Parts: sequence; C-alpha cells; structure tokens
Amino acid sequence: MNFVISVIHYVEDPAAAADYLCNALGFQKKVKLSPRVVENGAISIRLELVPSLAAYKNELNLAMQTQNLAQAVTELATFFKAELSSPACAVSIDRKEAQLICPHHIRLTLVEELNEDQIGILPDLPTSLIWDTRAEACIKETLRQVPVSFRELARQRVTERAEMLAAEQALLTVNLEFAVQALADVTPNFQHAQLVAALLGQGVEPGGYFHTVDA
Amino acid sequence: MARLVHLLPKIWQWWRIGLAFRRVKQADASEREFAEQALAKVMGDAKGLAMKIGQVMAGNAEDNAFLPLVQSVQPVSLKVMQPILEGHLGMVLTDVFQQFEESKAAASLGQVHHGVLLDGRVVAVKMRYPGIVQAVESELALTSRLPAGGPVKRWKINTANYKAVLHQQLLGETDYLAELQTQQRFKQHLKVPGLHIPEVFPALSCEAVLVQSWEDGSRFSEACAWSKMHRLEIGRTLLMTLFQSLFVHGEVHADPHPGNYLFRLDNSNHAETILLDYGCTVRLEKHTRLALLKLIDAYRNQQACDAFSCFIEMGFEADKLGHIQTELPSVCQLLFQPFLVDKAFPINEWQLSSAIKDLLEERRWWFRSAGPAELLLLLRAFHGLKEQLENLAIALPWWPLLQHVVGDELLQEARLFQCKSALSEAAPVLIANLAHKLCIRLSENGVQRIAIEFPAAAVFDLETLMPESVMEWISDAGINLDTIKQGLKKEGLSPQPLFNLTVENQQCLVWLE
Repeated sequence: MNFVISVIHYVEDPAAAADYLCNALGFQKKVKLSPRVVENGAISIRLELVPSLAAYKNELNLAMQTQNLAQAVTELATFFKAELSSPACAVSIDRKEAQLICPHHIRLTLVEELNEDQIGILPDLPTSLIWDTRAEACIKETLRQVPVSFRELARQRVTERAEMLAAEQALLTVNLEFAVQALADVTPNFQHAQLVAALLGQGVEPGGYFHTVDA
Repeated sequence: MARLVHLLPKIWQWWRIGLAFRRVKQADASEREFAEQALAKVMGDAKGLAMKIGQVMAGNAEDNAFLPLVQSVQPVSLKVMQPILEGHLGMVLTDVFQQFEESKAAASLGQVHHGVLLDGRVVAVKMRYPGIVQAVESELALTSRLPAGGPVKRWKINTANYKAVLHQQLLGETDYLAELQTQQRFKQHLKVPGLHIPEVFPALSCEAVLVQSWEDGSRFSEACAWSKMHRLEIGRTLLMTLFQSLFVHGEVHADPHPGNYLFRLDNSNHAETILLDYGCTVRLEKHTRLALLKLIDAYRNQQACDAFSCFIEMGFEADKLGHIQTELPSVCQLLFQPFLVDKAFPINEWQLSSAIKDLLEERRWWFRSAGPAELLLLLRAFHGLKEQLENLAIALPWWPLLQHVVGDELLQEARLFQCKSALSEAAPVLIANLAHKLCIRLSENGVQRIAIEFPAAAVFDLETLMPESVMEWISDAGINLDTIKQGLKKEGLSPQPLFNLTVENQQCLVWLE
C-alpha cells in the first residue's frame, strides 16, 4: 500500500495560516478549500480548524534551509511577524542555525549549510592512486579559482585526468607535472591565462601545457 | 576389466561428492557451514578433478570451507614419495640434495617439498602423486558420459569442445615437463614491474617432477592488509601481467586461485608478486588477440567497428551469435566497461553477469554457446583478476595501463587488422557512436532542479532511478518503459532522446548521450 503523508496542524484560522506559509515560507496551495493543504515539494501540511483547547499546545516545528541565514531572519522578522528565539550560531563546522517563533504556532529552525569557502577547509581530492604532497596542494589551491557550485565537478575531473596521465606511464603516484597537465587538459582554453597566473602565484612552473598566447 | 578397476573407486568418490553437494543445497543457514566442510573434505580426499573443482569454488574469499583445498590438504609422506623421486632422478636423494623435507603443501595433482641442493640453492620440488594420471583419465572418462539434454541441447552448447578442453587441460597439468616449458616461456617473455617468476631446473625435472627456486612470501589474504601503495603495486602487476600475457605473449595463466600467488616486499620496499603453477594456461592465436584488441580500442575511441566480425575472428560461431547480433554493441560496452571510462575504475562497478542477464535475459546463453571453449579459461583469468582487485580494495585506470603494455605498434597493427568475415559480402552493418551515459534532467519553471548521469546500461533499470512522482507522470502520459527498453535491446544503446514530459510547470527530460 502507498500512503501520501501530510502533517496536520491545528490553527484558529486555517486560511490565514495557509496564506502565511505560502507568502512567508514559500509553500504552495495544493487544496484551496477545506481542508486546506499546502506543500513545498518536500512536505505537505494539512491545516485544520482547532477542535479543542488542548490542540493549541501542538506546535508545528519546521526546519528549512536558506542560502543566507542573516538575510532570511531579517526578512521574516521585518515583514512576517517572526520573533527570534535563538540567534544564529554555528551548530557544526558546516552548519549555522537560528530559531524563530512565527504566527499560527509555527516554530521555525532556519539552517544555512556552509560551503567549503565559508568553512575555509579545502576538501580532499577523490583520489584512487597516490598523490605527492605538492601535487595535491597545488590542485586544491588552484580549485579555489573555480566558482564553488562547479568546484566539485572540477575537482573530480582534474583528479581523474591526472591519474590517467600517471597511468599512461604505468606510474601509481601523481606528481606535480601530471597535476599541472591535468589542470590544463580539463580547463577551457580561454581560462588558461588566469590559470597560469594562479599557478605562478603558488610558485609552480606551468610548463608548456597552456594556451596563453593570443588567448 | 583393468579399466573397471580404475573406474569403480572413482564412481564411488563422485557418488559421495554428489551426495555431499545435495546436502549443501538442502542445508539451512545453520547447517550450511558443516555441509560445506563435509563437501570440501570428500573433494580433498578424491584429489584430481574433484579437488580442482573445489579450488575453483574457494575463489579468493577468506572464510569458506573450500579454502583448505587451496591452501593445503594432507600430503603423502616422504617415505612413499622418496623412492618414486629417486626413480625419476636416477640417483639417490643425498646425491642431489643436502636437505629434503616432508611436504607441507599438497595440491590437487601433486605436492611440494622444500629442498636444498648440494650447491646450497633452495628449491621447491613439485611431485606428481603416484597413479594420478590414471585417476584423472578415469575421471575424464566419466565426464564423457555427461548428459547432453536440457539447456545443453536447447542452446546447442558444444559439450564435446568443453570436454576436449577439460581433458587437454587436466592431462596437461599432470605433465610437469610441459609446465616447466610454459614457465620458462613466461619468464623469458613477460616483463612486468613487480612480477617474479621462479627459476626452473630442467636438469632435475621430468614429466612427474618439477624443480624450481623456492620462494618465500605472504599469502594473498595477508597482502590485502598492506598499505595502499603496496596494494596498488600488486594490482598493477596483476593487471599488466594479464594484459601482457594476453595481447603480447599470447598465453595466459588461467588458474588464478590464491594458492598460486605469493607476495613480498623487495629491498626498495616495492611489492613483488610471485606467480606460481603454470599447469593451466590458455594460448591465443595472434588473429584472436588482434581482433579483441581492435574491438576494445574501437569502443574506447568510439570508432566504427564491426563487432560481429571481430567475434567471429575470435572463434565465435556465426549462426549462434547471429541471435544476439543487434545487441552485440551493448554487450561490448558491458564487457569492456573498465577500458571505456576516463578514470581509475572501481571494480565493484563491473557487474558483468547481472548486466548481461538484464540485457539479453535468456538469450545470454547464445553468447556463451557461441564462444569457443578455450575462452572459458580466459574468462576464468579475468574473473580471478576481478576478485583480486576487489579484495585489494583498489581502483586502477585500465585503458592507459593497457596502452602502456601493448605499445603503439601493436595497437596500430590491431587498428589495421582486417577480420576475415568483414571481407565477405555478408558483413554486418558497422556500428559506431554508442551512448556512454544516461542523462536525466528535472526542471521547474525552466530552472534546472535535478541533473543526474548514469552509465548508459543503467537505462535498463530506469524505473528504480526515476523519482516516484515522475513514474506517475510517465504512467499518466502512456509511456511504456518496457517498450523503450525492448527497442534499445534490439537496436543498441545509441545516443537518442528517450522521452520528454511536461506536467504543469515541471519538465522531465531523459536521453542517452
């Protein structure tokens, strides 16, 4: 049997609560008349008229992700009557949270996941072979140039390419030369001049792998 | 009458093995271990063919009842073996050896003794069991009575060829002089980093005795716990040994059970792989090797290639292969998957049997039936390598290592090689540009929400890859995934759009690229 699961939330004014969830928290109305149902792709909430006083004690606890915690908190407090109950703080190395109390008995935990630039730690390369320290450091540092949303893919491609180059010579260790050549191979030509500058900035000789003339 | 005297004990042993097999099959989880131990025991007692089968069943796993058949069974005492050895040598033991020990390692057809020659060289003396040749011949006589009905008949499996290969291999393994010559050929021709092949002593060897240098080393299970660098070195040696044996030397070691390998660290702290036991090898003609290399290269570089002709050149039967001709490009993609990716290949991604089964279903038997019996040994070598790499827990880039081993000249020769059947008028259509990946994109209001890529063959599991909500759309739109899959099986996995669905503001696009 398959079930569609909804959270039921009892409120004094289901229509106002539905409007609030849609306007403030990005939900969409799925059922516009009673019982009102809103959803956001991950969860659906059925809003029911409160049947008894005891149900008031039930709160709807929502945890939602945001890309900018400070901005989201300010907007909700300014425009949507949310009160900050616990200010933004880091709950782990890659996660910040803030808690707000919103109208209609909604308690909201806003979460911002930090990317590698915000954390300031360069992730390991997804290696299969052995990498010498300089080669690994060079790639990690150079990848900072890549926009963070494309970086994971770039990290994977450059690592795989460098390991293929090492294996072409039946070697199991990726040295700096393979790493630099892999960077050149996986980077579009028009970005080579920028890449060469980044390498020189690290004190790494780019060699003859780059298309920088008349680029 | 004399033949019957040999046959009766063998029939009795095989009857016991059959009974033990049935017990294993019927045992529940709690009894299975004991049932397997009992089966391993009767197979070990029988030696010869039964023990060989037990060794194959042991594979590379650490904890199964058949492992004693690989590592060691009870050897025959020196008291029995010494006069036989002296008879073969034509000398008393003390005229040749300053030291000769009881055997601690018995195998299926013979056992190994540690000895020290008068000049101080330490040797391993492999001796054939007395009477083992007649025993094996009797067992092989039993195999000739194997039934030829059921699937064998349905898929026209040529059991005569399989039996011939089995006879040739098993009897060949009892001839230690032939094994010595094979070992010499391997030592002379194979040049692979980290590979060590023991030196043989022809003057002290004969059909029943093989003397070679004694080698110390760790077992495979121990080497699996070594550092990543050492495991990578072992993996590279195993991979390059298979590539060089297959494509350059033309003869492949086809007995990859763990007892045939030892591992040690050399003075420079590099891992060394010692390859033992050259009794079971498979030789491949040059045209077979060139056709296989041509096929791998073409698929790797997405060049037009007549896969059908290449398989015929490798000895496949055209009439049987014709049943799956349209699927051959997809079969090649699965077979050569480790060579086709641009990265170190995680070997556990190579689920060949299940992928071929998904692709061809029952008709996979046509592929097996069409192939020459000798290829079974080659498959065994590749299967052994896969298990070894899995246990070593490493990933290596296959294609650049293959390129390095074969070199530009041989690769060029393979590219130019003309398969005979390709010259005939009946040559099938050339097939090129197969899809490499399955792409799924989900977007909302024109903004991409999900973008996923899988290997192209994953298309046959499309239901499990799609979000449940999208499966509802597919069903509502009347798209039949089974029809799409059947079409792909027939026509091959060429790049193409599979379907494009729009529901309200959401869009789902699925295609092969």
